[in-house]
Amino acid sequence: MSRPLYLLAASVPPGNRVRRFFDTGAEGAAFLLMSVDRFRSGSFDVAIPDTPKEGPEGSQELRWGDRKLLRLYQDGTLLFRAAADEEFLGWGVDQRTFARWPRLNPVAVVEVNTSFVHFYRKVLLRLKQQPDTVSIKLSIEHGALDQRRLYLTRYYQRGIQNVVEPEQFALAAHPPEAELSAQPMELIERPNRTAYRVIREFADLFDLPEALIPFQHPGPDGPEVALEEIIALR
Amino acid sequence: MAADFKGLRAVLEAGDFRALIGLAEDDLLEAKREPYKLSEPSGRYELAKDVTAFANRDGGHLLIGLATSRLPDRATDVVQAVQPVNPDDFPVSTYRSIIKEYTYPEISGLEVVFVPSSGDVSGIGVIAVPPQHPDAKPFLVKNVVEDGESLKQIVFGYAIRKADNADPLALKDLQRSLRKGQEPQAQRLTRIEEKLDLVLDALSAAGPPREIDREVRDKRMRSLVEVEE
Repeated sequence: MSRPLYLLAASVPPGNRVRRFFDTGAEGAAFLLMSVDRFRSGSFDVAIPDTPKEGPEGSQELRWGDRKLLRLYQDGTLLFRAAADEEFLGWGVDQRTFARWPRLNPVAVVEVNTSFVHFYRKVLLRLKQQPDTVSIKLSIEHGALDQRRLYLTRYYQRGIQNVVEPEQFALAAHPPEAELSAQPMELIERPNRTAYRVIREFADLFDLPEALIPFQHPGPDGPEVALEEIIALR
Repeated sequence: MAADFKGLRAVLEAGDFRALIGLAEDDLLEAKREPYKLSEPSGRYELAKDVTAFANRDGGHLLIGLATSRLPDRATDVVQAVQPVNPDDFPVSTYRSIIKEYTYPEISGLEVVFVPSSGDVSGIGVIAVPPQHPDAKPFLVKNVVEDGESLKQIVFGYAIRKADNADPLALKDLQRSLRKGQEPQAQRLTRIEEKLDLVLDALSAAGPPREIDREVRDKRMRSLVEVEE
């Protein structure tokens, strides 16, 4: 049985490049990949504490077993893959429990998408040219375990173990993927707004009402991720 | 709550293990409920892998006799309870000799001790791996075991601590790392890169705004699904 995966890609129009991609020092792509900001201890982020290795097409890549993978191409495309099961996106239960109740962890969902956008902001600042647009695509692969589809619930601050039969929002989209465009300036100046938009697309794959997306607050251009609420989690 | 090397040491020396509850497993701490199964090749390999993983990073403690659980809001396991082990289940000299036999080079300052709970014979097994001198790295596992069998074709294994895991490096990754160290590829590529930039600048000045190449991006995304694990 194939394990569920969550894939994220950020890309810019062709003809661009990450400056000094092959530099082995602090200016290079390898160092950039090692400089993911971590919001808190034990955060669900795209950081992988290792040294990057060369990946396909001359990309630089970090892997953490089958839990996480982060890959940066010379043309500015950033890919991220995470296990969408108890190893990462469904964190909090053991394998047997997840197989029976494949619920994705709302904190992990919000935090990893926010981390991806924040890291892509760093990549954008290192591109040779400012692009006209940034495309972010998200996709879920193998979104069902046997006949049980991955699902979301609302976020329960006191823990889902205290809730009897929470309402489930099962993966509904066919295919389970979505794409959005962002202006580079939005991503650079208001990454929490872009992150929120990515999370909203993710929630839409499950028909989760927007009001149930946790860790959001109003911003000048619409809702944003309330990063300080995530940082305050213990 | 994260562990630091000195703070953890103080708690262990005081013998009040309740202070360990709530500690998060991380780069410096691995908590285990049960002792390693040293009578089995896989158990000896696991021990060597976990110890070298700490040595290859910044050192750390392996504590045996602690139950962990997952907190839903944090991507790490935390110590939930102290479950002391019997001293007979943590034979210090056997642990020492297996680590010595299974790892290379010798880990400097390695400590293997059994710390009894105050007022009890049972306690916690402690393996302390101090930070190692960079010149001594990498630390390797001499006997690699998979599915309970020694892998004869692999002469050594390499593991490094990543947050709460000790990940062994696959042979091809190890070979790639060794090759990378031998080639001045990076310098050559940087020079090529500078020339490429000139070409790209000229191209982008001439053409209209471009669209995202979705075909290339989607192909790359698909390749992520097929990545070997």
